[in-house]
Amino acid sequence: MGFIGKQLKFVLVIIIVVLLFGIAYRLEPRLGLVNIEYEVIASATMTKAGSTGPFKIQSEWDYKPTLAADGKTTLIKLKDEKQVSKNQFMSVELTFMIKDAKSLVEGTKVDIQNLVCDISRASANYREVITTYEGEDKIEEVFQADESSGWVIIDDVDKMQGTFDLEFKDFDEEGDYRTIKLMDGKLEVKSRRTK
Amino acid sequence: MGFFDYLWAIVLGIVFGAVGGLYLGTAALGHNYVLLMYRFLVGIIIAMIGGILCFRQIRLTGTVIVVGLCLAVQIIFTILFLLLSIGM
Repeated sequence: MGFIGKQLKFVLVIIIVVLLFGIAYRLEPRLGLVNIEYEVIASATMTKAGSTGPFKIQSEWDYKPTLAADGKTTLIKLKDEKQVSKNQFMSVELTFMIKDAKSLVEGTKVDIQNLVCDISRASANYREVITTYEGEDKIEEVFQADESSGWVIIDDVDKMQGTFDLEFKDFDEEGDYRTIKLMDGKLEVKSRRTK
Repeated sequence: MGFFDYLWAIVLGIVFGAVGGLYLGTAALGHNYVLLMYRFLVGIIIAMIGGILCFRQIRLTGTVIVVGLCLAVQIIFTILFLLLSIGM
């Protein structure tokens, strides 16, 4: 082994050692030496066409893992409400399912079981919801609201991490509509180490 | 063991000690002494692994330098972080 090769070997050993420290660090929660608390942070900007300007829904929910009966999954329900006009409220509820919650770490992809939007209190005329979300593939779909409940349930959405948009169309009797947009919806999982 | 091997043994000892010291220091800041003991043990084991990986070049003398320096730097870092955590 030449002079340079010998020096490179020492550099390689330094890299290996740093990696070993990283592995030891990642092992600590599994050994029960530290507790990890999770926060699910969801935010979105809501805009209504024709209003004076955009206003923002931004909420934070502290999430502490509560495992379901199967010991692996858990549900997170995030809800927020805004008054969009004098007599109208708009509430948005998102339900997420985290699979394999025990291995949840910062940046975990959150699997969405149902993306549920409650538009019943917004207006009886809101009938159509367009959602765009970016996960592994960008998909755009149109869902019709359930007229009896006013709930839109979007199934089979998998592994979304990034942003999503929701667009509510408020149709009048003549078929014209106004829109309310929920833009740049974000869902992030952040972890915090505690004693 | 030549000049550069001694130099590398010292560099390795200080680098391992600094990385391990920061690793230990964060546990010291939180006064989590069980975690501190775990990290101390891990720090020494990893330093020994590092020393053994270079054993053909730095021999026993070099390995002792690496582990000894690593231990010293880790202890210094831990004391510094503990002092920092109590506001000194």
